[in-house]
This record gives sequence, C-alpha cells and structure tokens, in this order.
Amino acid sequence: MSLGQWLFLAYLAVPAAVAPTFAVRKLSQGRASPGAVAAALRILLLIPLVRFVIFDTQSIILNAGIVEDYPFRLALSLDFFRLGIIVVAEFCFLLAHAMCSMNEGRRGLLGFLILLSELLFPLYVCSDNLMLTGVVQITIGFVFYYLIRFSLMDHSSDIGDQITKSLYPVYYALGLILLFWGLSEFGEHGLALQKASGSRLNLVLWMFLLILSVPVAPWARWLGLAVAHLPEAVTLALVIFLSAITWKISSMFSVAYPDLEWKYKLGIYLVGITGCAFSIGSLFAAQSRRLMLGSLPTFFFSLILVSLGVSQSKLLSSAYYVCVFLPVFTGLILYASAMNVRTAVEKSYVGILLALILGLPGTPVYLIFGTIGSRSLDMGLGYTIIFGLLWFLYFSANVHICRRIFLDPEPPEAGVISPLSKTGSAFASFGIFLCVFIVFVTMFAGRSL
Amino acid sequence: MNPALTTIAVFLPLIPSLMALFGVLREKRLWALAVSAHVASWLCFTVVLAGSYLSSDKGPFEGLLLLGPTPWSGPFRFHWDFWSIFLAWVASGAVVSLHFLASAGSRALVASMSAFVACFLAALGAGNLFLFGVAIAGAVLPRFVMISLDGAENKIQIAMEAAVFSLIAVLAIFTVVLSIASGSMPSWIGIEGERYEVTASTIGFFLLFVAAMIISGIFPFHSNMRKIYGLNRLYGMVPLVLQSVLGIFLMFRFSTQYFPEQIRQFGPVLLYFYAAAALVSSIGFCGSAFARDRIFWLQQVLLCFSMIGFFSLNQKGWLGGSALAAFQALAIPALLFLSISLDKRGSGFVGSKIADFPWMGVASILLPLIALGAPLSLGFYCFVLVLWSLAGGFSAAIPVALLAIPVCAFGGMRIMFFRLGESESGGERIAGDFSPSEFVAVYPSIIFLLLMGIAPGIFLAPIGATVAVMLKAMN
Repeated sequence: MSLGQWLFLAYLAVPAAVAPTFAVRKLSQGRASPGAVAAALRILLLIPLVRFVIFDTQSIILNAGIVEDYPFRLALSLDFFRLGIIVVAEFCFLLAHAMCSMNEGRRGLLGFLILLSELLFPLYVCSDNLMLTGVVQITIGFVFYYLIRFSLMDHSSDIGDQITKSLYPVYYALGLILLFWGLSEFGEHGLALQKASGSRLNLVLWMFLLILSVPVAPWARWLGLAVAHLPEAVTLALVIFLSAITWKISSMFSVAYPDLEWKYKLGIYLVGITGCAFSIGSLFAAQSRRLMLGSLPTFFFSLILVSLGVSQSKLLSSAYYVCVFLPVFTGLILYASAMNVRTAVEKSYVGILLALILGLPGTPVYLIFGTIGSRSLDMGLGYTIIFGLLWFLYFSANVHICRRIFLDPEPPEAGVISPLSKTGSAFASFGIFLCVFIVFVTMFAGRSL
Repeated sequence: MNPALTTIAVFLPLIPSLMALFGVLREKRLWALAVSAHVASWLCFTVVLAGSYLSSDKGPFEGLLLLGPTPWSGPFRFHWDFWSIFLAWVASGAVVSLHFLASAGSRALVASMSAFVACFLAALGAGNLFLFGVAIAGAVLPRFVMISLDGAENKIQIAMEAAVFSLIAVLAIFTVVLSIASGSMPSWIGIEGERYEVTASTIGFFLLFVAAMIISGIFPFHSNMRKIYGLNRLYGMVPLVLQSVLGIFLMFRFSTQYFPEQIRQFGPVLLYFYAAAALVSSIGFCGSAFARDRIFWLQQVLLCFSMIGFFSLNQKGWLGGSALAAFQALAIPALLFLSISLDKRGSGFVGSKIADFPWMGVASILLPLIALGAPLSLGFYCFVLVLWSLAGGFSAAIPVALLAIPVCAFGGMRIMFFRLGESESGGERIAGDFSPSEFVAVYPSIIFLLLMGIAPGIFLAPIGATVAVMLKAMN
C-alpha cells in the first residue's frame, strides 16, 4: 500500500476510532465533543491527501474483498471531484458537531449518531461499486431514522414520526434499487459501474432513482418539516447526505448513460423547474425566518435536476457546484435564521452571507446560474425564457428575504427556539471563514473543470 | 475426537429426561441438571466447531449413533458437516440462553424439553433419511407434552394440531424411506394418463416437500407455528420455534439426494411460489398488531427466502439460503427474548430512558435492525446472495422477492423504536435496565450476530464449501 492509501484508510477510520469515547459521559457531554475532534482530525488528514489527488493528479484506490470467491468488494476511489465534496463536508460536519454541542440534554447521543453519519459519508461518496453504495445508502436510512427520532423525542415526537415515515422508506428504497440495478445490470461484473452499459429498461429505473433522491417540492414535504423542526446540527447532517446522494446518482448518468436522449432530459428538466417554482412559492408564503430561509435548500436541490436537464453528455459542472455549495450554504443559513445579530462580526457575517445568496460574480451561485444559463442559451429560445424566469424569481426571492429581515418594521420571528441564538462571535467568525472557503473551493473547481 | 464429541453433544440433553422419567431428580435439581447438560452439549459443539476451523480436512465427518459400535454401525451413523454443526451449535446456544430467562418448569416440562432438544440435534446429525425420520418421530411426544403443559387458553387445540401435523410429516418421511428401501420407487403407484404422467418419484418428492414444510411451519403450513408463538411458557415456545431449521435442513440435505430430477422439474414453480409467499409474509409482518406476531411473520419471510435460495439451484442461492437458516435460528430466539424482557416492563420503556437503561436501549436498537437484515448483518448478505442467484435464470422473481424487503423494512419501523414489547395482557411490571440473567440471555446473541455481520467471510466461506459439496453431489 502507498502512503496515499494509508492516509486515506486512516481518514476513513478516524470516526470508528473516536466513537468509543462517547461511552465516557464527561467527554460526550463536553463542549469540545469527540465528534468535533474527529472532524478536525479528518480535516488534518485531508491536507496531505489534497497534495496526492490534486497536485500529483492521481486517484487513490482502496479495494478489499468481504467474502472469498464472491464479488462482495469494498471498492473505493478518491479523485478530484470526490475530494472537493469530502473537504467541504468535513467542515460542515465540524460545524454540525459544534452546533450539536450547544444543545442541552441528549447531545452525546446525537453527537454519536452524527459521527456515525460522518463515518458513512466518504464510504458513500467514494464507492465505485453499487453493492457498497446500496449498503451505505440503507445504513444511512437507519442512522437518520434514529437521529431524527431521538432529536424530536421530547417535544415533537409526532413530527419525528412523520419525517421518518417519509425519509426512511425513501432511503431504503433507494438502497434496494441501487442493489437491484447492480444485480440486474452489472451482476456478472461484480456490481461495478461499467462505461455506457446501462440498458433502456434500467434507464427508467435510474430516472426514478434520481427523482426519488432529490427532495423536490411538492411531494417531498418532509425536508421542509425537517428544516423547520429538527435541531440545526441534524438538519445540516441530513443536507450533507442529501447533496452527496444527489451527486452520486447524478454522476452515474455520465457513466452509465452518457448519451441520454433529449426527451428524458426534458422530463428531468420539467420536474426540476416544477420543484423550483414550488420552493420559491413557499419562500414567499413563509411566516418565520427559519421557514423562509429553509426554502432555499429545496430550491437548490430542484436546480440540480434543471442542470441535469440541460447538461451535455459528461458535463455536470453546475450539478457539482450545487452539491458542493449546498451543505455549507444550509449550515450558514440555519445559523443565520437562529442567531441574534448584535456584534460587528455577526453583522458582517449576515452581510457576507446575503452577498453569497444573491450570487455576486465569483460566488458559487453565480457559477451555478452562469453554467445553466449558458447551456440554456445553447439549447434554444424556450429554455432561455424559462431560465430567465427562474433567475428573475430567484432574484425577487432574495430581495424579499433582505426586505423582510432588514427593512420591515416587524421582521419575522425566528420560528424556532435554538441554542444558537446565544452564540457569540466565534460562531460568526467560523461562518465568515466558511463563506470565503466555499467561494475559494468553487472557483478552484470552476477553473479545473 | 470429533465423532465422539458430537455423539456426546447430541445425547447429553437426554440425561435430564431419563432422570425425570425414573423419578431420580425433581424440581430445581432436575432443572440444574438440564442447564448443565445443555451447556455441556453446547460446549461440545463449540469444540467441534473450533476444531473444524483448525482442521486441514474440511470435508464431512461421521460419528457413531451410539457409543456402542454394534448394532448401530454401518449406514446408521451421524454425518456432520460444517453447516449442520453450525446449526446445532446455534440452536443449542439458544437453548442455553433460554434457561437464563425461563423460570424452572415442572418435571414433565423440563424432561420433554430436554428430550425434544436431543431429538432436534440428532435430526441435524442424521446421515440418512431414515435416521432423520426416527429423530423427528422421537420429537412428536415431547412436542405434544410441551404444548399441553403450557398455560395458554387454546393449548389443547394447538397440541392436537401439532400432533396431527407431526404425524403427517413422520408418515410422509417413512413412506419415502420405505419406498426407497424396497427399491420399488420407479414403479410405485405410477399413474399414467394420455396427457399427464405422474411418476412415483414425483409423489415421493412432494411427500418429502410437504413434510419439510410442516416441520418448518412455513407458508402454507404456518398456522400451527403462529399459534405456538402465542404460548405462555418459554420452555415450550422457543425449542418449537427453532424446529423451523429442520425443514430447511431436510430439503437441502435429503431431497437433493433422492429427487434431484424432481427438484429441477418443479423447482422454478416452487421458487415463484415462495417469492410470492415472502411477499405475503412481509405484508403479514407489516399488518400484525402484536410483537410476537411480528416476529413470527419475520421468521416466515426469512424462511421463504431460504427456500427461494434452495430452489434457485445454484451455489449463490444455496449459500444464501443455508446461511439464512442459521441466521434466523440465532436472530429470532434473541428477538423473542428481547420482546419478553420488554414485555415485563410494559409500554413504559421509551427511547427517552435510553440514557438511564443503556443496555436495554442498545439491545432494542441493534437486535431489530439485525433481524430485519440491515447492512452489517449476516442476513443482509444472505438476502443479496439469494436475490443475486435469481439474476439470469429467474429474473422475473426478483421484483416479487425484492418487494418483500422494503415492505418488511417499512413494517420494521413498528419495532425499531422501542415498540417490541407491546403486551397483549397485563401483569406484574418490573422497572429498570436488564437484569443479569436477561443480559446473559440476550447479549451473547447480539455480539455473535454483530460478529457474523462484520466478518461474514468467516462463516460464509465454510458454509459455502459444504454447500458446494452438496450441490456437486446433486448434479
């Protein structure tokens, strides 16, 4: 094994090594939780991996058999795209652990479950094998089932039940479809994805998988409920995974179905546009700050489908930008929706965040809309008009947010009682760092893609 | 050493029965002897199982039926391979765990339970169908006594049904044995018509198939097994639940020896039948109102998948099916023990108390997940293997069988969040975390199930080798 492989293995193993410390009550209940330590350690381990993957332009591959003579294999590889998603996600997990440690009561248990999701995250993102992808997908469903149920057990157990009844079967079904897809499509090749090997029958299955994986309004109401009611840390962990799932399934398109016909793309595009319209509508109708800002992640998820609808064979850059940007963005707006803006640092944070949301040149939102816009122009007048309307709606929504929060004589209530309202400048400083960091990462990715 | 040890392991549980029969020991002493005998039997199987890993010869090995060499030598020998020893080890382990939860029963109950366990282990070691039939016939009376001594309201009805079903199974097995022994099988009650020809071998195969289904208590002969889940006494219920393994064992071990052609001929039809049965069972699991009923339907799903694996007639399916039989023999009793422990606490135990009662909380999360075949459980790999075995030859059955899994998973939400202990009746309630005896009854199974899930290759590889030999012999 090379040094890169050892480092990658160590990176994967960190949460498993840290997990037993949650059994020590003093450690798990402290402000610097073991989960935050694990996330920080992982970020440190990623620094040398960046050198291997980006500067030496090599993928790091790990491959191990589970059962002899049967192609049950752990096939993982880390390339430029996956590294980008992982680096951003680790910072988000760090933020999630910090948010979790602000909770009173069950923070040890929630921190442990978030650590479990952190353990599964790179396995999911880096898997090259549908068996592993499906297995991790199902396991994620279990982890989030308990994470949501435990976090809403005391005051809103009915809502927890409602969210898990929607989310858990979807995750389970996704995992099974991935396995079924692998068994029926690639069974003889050890469930590994093959270039351009998808059949027409399974294309429909893949499209179903894709639409199921993206929590698009109006049928995926659970994400709205989750944003409104779950603790910020849990919502953030959930969105990190949702972005990864969407990216994973979207990227399968470029491998298995590089020559997707226009009618299929149009179908995906229309579903995405419908989702965008519904989420913007719910933003305008929202009564609280949390619900208003919480509609934006759903909008961006729908935008992934739009970007797939206008994509060229292997060009999925706008979907990639969304998936990298969305977890950070969600973490930042969740914090912004709960905080009390008092100090200069906190005011600066809110200002920078709104600039980020608005989509000034150089920001991820600018890149996302720029990429979709240029492709829409290529595809003709109809696509261009719809894109214009979409951009106009998004811009109006931003103006609405700024007006309601800063200019209204009676700004909307937070809509949630959160421990984050009492955080000081440290959190806001970390928020500013993340805003700058995500701009840097997306610009770097934009130059490399 | 291995043959002698397996023989000792099989017959050790008979000692308490004999002691009870002659009236030498009573009450607590008899119970203590039964516990000692079952623990010793389990330890013998543990040594043999450990030896099979260390031994260079992975093939089957034989043991004498009784310690005296004649007149029991020759064909009347035990025939053990890794799979049968593993099944016996798992089942005897469940019986040992049972003693920690069940209070000392009456003399007749302890004696009949011990005799039943001895017959059960003897059936797993049977080298031929006759010996298997003898062991099953020997279990009929203890089975009847165990049910009759229970406190359930409808115990007489359950016992009568069980007796009738058991006799039909025994009769079916011995009919096949006699017809094979007399060498008259090819011409035996052959019915030939203008369009259809039902050969004697076909009848023989279906007799054996029906016997296996009755012994397993699997769909469509599941009604009696469902009632057994409602028994009050654990000493009656758990060994009878374990008996399901024997039906699967009968199909894998003996039907392939005598009726390979018929299995190839009718296998596809029966495979589709069990795919549908798995789906029906999963819907039953989803819709059942009580915890024990849910566990029953979950076992049905697992057994149906085992049968699907068997009828796929390829190595992946056989490996998945045979390993699933062992998995359910470990997971289902453990789930029953947990359900009973939670029952004692009423519906008061909820997740909010997980910090106060961590052992019970962790067990209540892990066991349902494992039993549902979540990833990182052996059941999951078995499900994948069985489904994988259908790719190509029986692709149409995949969606039907596959659909049973999400239906089960959806129904599983009803047991996943500390709702395994809804009690049908009231009764005295206790509070607090697991008592030491409950801990010992439940946690070894959880640890072993986790180990099987984390390192499945350790168990699947030798079972795969056994299965390969059986499949080769059939072909």
